[in-house]
Amino acid sequence: MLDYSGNAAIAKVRALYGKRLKAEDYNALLQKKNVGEVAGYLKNDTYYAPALEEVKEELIHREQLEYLVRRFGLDTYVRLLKYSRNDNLFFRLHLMEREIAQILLAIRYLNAGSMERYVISMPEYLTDHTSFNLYALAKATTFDELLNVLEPSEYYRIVGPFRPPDDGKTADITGCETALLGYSYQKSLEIVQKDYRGKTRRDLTELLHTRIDLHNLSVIVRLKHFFNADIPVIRERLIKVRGKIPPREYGALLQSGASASLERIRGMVRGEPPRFSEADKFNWVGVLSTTAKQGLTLRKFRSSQQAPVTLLSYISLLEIEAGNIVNIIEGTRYSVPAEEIRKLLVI
Amino acid sequence: MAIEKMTFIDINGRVDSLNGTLIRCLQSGVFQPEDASKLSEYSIGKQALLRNPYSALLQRITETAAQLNFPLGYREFGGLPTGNRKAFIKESDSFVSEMLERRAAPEEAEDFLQSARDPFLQLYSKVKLLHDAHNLRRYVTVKETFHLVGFIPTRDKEAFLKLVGDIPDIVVSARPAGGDPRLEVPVRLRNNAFTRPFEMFVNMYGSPAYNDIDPTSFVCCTYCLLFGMMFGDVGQGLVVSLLGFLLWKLRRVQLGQIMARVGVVGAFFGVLYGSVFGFEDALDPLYHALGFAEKPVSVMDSATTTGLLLTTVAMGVVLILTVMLLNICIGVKQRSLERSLFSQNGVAGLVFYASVIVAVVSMLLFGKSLFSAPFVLLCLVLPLVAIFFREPLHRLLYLRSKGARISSDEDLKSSFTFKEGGLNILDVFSSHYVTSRFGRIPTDSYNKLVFYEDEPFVLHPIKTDQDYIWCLYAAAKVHEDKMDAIFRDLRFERVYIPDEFLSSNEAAQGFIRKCVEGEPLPVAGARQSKPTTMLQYIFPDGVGSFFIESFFEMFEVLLSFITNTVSFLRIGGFVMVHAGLMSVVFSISGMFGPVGAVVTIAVGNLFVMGMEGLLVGIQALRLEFYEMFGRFFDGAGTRFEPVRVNY
Repeated sequence: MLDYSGNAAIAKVRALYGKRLKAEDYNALLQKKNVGEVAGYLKNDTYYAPALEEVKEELIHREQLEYLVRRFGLDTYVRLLKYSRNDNLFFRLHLMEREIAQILLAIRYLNAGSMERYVISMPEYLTDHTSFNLYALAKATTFDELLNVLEPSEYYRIVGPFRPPDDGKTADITGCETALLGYSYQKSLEIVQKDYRGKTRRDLTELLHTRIDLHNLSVIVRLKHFFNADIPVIRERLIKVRGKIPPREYGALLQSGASASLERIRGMVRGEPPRFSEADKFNWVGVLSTTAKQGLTLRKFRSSQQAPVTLLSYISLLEIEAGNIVNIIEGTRYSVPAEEIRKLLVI
Repeated sequence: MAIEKMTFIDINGRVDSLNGTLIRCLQSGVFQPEDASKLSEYSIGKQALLRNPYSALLQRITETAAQLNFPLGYREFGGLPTGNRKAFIKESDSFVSEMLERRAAPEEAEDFLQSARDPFLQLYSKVKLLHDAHNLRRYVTVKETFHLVGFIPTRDKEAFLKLVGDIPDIVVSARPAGGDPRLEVPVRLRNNAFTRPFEMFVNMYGSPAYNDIDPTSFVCCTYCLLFGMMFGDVGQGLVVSLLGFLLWKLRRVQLGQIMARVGVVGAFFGVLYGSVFGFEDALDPLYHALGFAEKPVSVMDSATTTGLLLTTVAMGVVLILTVMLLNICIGVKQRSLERSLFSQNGVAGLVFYASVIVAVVSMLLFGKSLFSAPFVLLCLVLPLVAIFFREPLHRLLYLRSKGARISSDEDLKSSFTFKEGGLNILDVFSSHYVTSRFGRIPTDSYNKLVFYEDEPFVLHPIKTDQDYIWCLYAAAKVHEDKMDAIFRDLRFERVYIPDEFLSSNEAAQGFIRKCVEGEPLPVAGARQSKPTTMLQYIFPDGVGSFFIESFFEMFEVLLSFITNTVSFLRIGGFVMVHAGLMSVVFSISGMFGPVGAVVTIAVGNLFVMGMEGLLVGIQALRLEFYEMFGRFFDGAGTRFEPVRVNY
């Protein structure tokens, strides 16, 4: 039986992709002198226009503009979900990442004793979609109250073990992050194995494995270079879910220096990877990692005829685009030279 | 049929580079500037226009040129002055004065003037360029850097970017035009050599908008067809064509190009009508040679009359349906549901009109009546209802839901639209003990205010939009810093009320209204009500008023279908008039001898060509403008007029 909804999804996503920001848009944005001009360009010359319709360029706040750009991404994703026969995977992966980010942010503020700041950062547009009450989370003042909020959700048993002891110590945020991310990837892979077959399953698995490997490699680079961390410490911080890179290879990378892992990421970049000076190459591990992710995602997006793969790829590309715009907004706001901002962009 | 692609140019740079940039833009000859202050992100700058320092010098030069009898024109002048502007003007002034002094000495005058002509004209060219470039400053805004925006044809983009590329300290951004709704993209039509002359007719009606279509090719085809049909004579058609050709070649009369084309079509129809300079039998040998018993169309034959008239009406129906389809295409291109679906020239009108035509033809030709209940309901009544309610339907489709958020919040419900007299602004802002702020808060942040229930502030919503709420918050002065910090974190966008608007509550209300609705300050006594219910939004002038107006509009719509269709009968009428006039000429010529007959026929032909040609030309244009353009072409665009130095 023909999958009309899948074909509709592919057509819709490809049409949306055609409206993405191109190199000339980024060039134009990099020429803007203040946040208002950036807002003006996005509002009047790009497909972000509906999201920014009520923005007043002369009044817009930097954070509000970033907020609206990110909200546009979520709104687009929710609209595209209508075309998906199985929204389980996409709900899991996309929203889970956001939910995890909110939980970690709340824990950071709790650790810092400034939970009232979480209210400011909380993205209100997520409140209708999260599996726990974001407003209740914002009202939590202790870790136990935070756990109470998470109790109805699947995150409760993941975060629970990281409850700090009563002697006033702070919660292990990095351990919590590793556990939560590992859980989300595990769940996603299980769904892929259960609900998909053939090439669709292979492609989705490849996309997820790449994310896992890139995360782990980035962790190795950062912990080795910036913190001189020991191998057991690094191993604790790696997502335990198996990606494409076999454990044996991870073992070898852990024994080697940070450069080996950085080169491993560079090897995952399709085409010419961005070049950075030897002195500060480790500072750009994030950009390199995102570039590698984009390359595979774009290849899958362009070649795939399966709606789930196309949809997942597109959502990733949209996130990368949102990240680029946020970098431009922040760089413009703080008068960073255009060439420096450009280095952060993954186009 | 094509509208030339345009590129939007956005130039930003140091003020020192402004003059050079303006000169280059002028020299390019392809740049049409737009007022940069139309873009709100650039409007914070002041416009850069200052008194033109070259005006007086230019005037002196042109007056001197008149006195010296030097015809002004362009001369290559090498580089532009690089030094001090005042020094250049002073030096040039001295040169002009010297010209006049030397001229006054007759013994030297002749040689001197001969040698000074070129330098003088070079100076004129230079000063004219500098003067005109300076005037372009009225389009520029300046605040630390300058902003200059405008349009160029996309095909000239590379050359333009290369030309301005050598100006230091500027950044030029070029992107496809049409993306920014605040600026109207100018239009330059691009047509081939055959259809280009008909741009004159299109521009006579109005320029197409950038997102419109270029009707020139359509006009070319239909105008030639209509003219040719009404002016069908081989000899006269060829004479008109030749005359047009000569008018264009020798006098550059634009109408000549059109005459050259329509004359040929007229000659073609003359072959069908068998008429050569009014001689109705001149082509009979040709027809017999081709195997025809007689000419295809015998205009003067009474048996042909009905068929001819019906054919012209049928042609009119086809043309009307065609322009309706064009209108639907334009509506789809512009994403206007009202235009493409609900208007009398949209799908609704097309279905109605086509159904009536089909039903009438069916009845007349086949004796079969199609007026069954389903046919009448679906093909006649439903389209008419859609046309009747097109504006409310359009508003309904585009009405954005404000969502449950407003319906659940009493304050926001009452603030849905701005209400005059809802708050005494002056009391709030003039109190010594209260800090007040006016501006807007993102709706998402408004929802977070629940976390600040215990904080000492008061928030008064004024108007609620989709993503923002215009509001006013106030707190005791002792809590000013804390409350400002909270609202800053919540991304409150503060708008400062100038002191002059705090002289009275009415002035303050008026300023706030201007901010929240973008309206001019209210006129005393004017009705200011805004829609507060769905019914009021859909019928802003009242339900009763809508029905009365629409009822009479429907009469006009239905009448226009009939009149526009019947209007094409004039084509058949003029076909017969043409033949009839020549018939009269021949009747008169029969009263004279051979020489007199020849003269009469010649003069008669000239007279008919002139008068009939003029009448037919006007009638064809009338059909184009009224029966056709009126259904699909707005003509609301602006022509592309790049700035150039007119030497």
